[in-house]
Amino acid sequence: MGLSVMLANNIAAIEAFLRRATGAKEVAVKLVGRLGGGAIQENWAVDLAIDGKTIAAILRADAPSGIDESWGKAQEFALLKVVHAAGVKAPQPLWLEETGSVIGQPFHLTQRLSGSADPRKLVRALEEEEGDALAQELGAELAKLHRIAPAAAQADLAFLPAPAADLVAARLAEFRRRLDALPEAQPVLEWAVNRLEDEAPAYARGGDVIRFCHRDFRTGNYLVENAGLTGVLDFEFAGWSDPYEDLGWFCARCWRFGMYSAEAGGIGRRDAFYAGYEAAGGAPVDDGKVRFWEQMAALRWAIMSLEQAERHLSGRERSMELALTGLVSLEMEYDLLIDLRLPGFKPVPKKRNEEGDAA
Amino acid sequence: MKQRPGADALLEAALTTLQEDLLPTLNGRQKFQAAMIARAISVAKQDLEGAAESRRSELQSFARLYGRDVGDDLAALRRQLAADIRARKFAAGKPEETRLIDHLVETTATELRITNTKYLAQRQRGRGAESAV
Repeated sequence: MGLSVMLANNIAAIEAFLRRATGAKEVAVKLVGRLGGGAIQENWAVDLAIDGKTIAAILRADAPSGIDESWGKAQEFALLKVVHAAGVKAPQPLWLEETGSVIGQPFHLTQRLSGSADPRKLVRALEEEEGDALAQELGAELAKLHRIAPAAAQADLAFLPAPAADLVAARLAEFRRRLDALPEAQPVLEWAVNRLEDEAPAYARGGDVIRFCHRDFRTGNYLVENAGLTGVLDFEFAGWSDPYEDLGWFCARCWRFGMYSAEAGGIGRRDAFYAGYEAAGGAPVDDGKVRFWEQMAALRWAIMSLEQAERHLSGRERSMELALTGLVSLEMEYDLLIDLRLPGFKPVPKKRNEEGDAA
Repeated sequence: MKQRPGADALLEAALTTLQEDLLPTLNGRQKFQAAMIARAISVAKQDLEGAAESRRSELQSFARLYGRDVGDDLAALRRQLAADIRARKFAAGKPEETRLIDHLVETTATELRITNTKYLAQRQRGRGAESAV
């Protein structure tokens, strides 16, 4: 039974849950519709009327088969609380149902923010200046997130595992474990792990810090209205990490949605994104290190997309979308084969009069 | 099967009907789903058409890489290669590494030609040093 049917059949149960959670007498829940971007999550827009007060909310439940990297609903709720309290534009967490007894699986309700997250439409709709301004705004928002440090962390985040001493080595070891768990051998990705292992020492700076990182901060995971940021979404991968993991993930080629020359998320210039980050109190951005983490991002997304396909192929969750996602890994494999051989992972600058192709 | 129309003609007919008759009438989630089905059929069709050739060329590429007769079990060869790479059997900066990269680029490009030929063309046209293909 799909979650849509489950939800429609359980409106009364959700209303009863909200009466208990709020102490209100009159609670009405109206299902508005399913929201996109639900490969890992199922998201529903719901309108709540609680003792006459109307609240536009999102109900979020895990998809039938989650992926190992992502947090459950209770943890995600805790993450949102911390992030929201830190002043990051993120949906305000409202109520958590963590037992699974109300609709068959845990869910939470958060404030519903306005704006669209559709990445393909966004990257094509923005004018150049708007795109740079948005990139700057996103850089600033990320800097706010990265102010949250382990030492000052609230008890709410006690469930987050401590970061490894050598973060890159730990990530690469994890990638190898995940490659081992896939049914087919992946020679290109094995080669990419080796290359990154060899390159890593050059990018391990003395002053590396560990901060609260989103770990899926990219175009498609934030809301935009009138070219302005309205909210950052999808904290289910968040954890302690090197801030460069977020900076690199955002700029990675695989998250530019076809607008490859707009190196900051397909929306704007890399410089604008960095400038926004630095102006909002983020540490000065080391471009070389961002580019190293962009390669880490391509490798991680290649592995994740193969895992998505396996969710379908294993029969745990039949989904055309998940099946097709598996094909995308070839694009990252080809990218890695090119980009990991470029000095500093940078495209070779074009020389004047040498190349007629302006692509 | 020997019966006409064969698998390729059936997929072609299904794809055309979907793209020309059905897709224009759909909206929203259904349109998205139909577009995904069209993509799945299109990739399957390409794969079917080029299967024998890409298999042959991957085996030849393996033979060049290992410099010997490699048999014909591609899945086993890929497993062996992945293990050899992890065991660092292709030393950096040595001719064996060049052969390895040539093999990886060639086999990946062949597959990408099936799943997303536009992407491949775009990257080959771009600024990178894509010398191996």
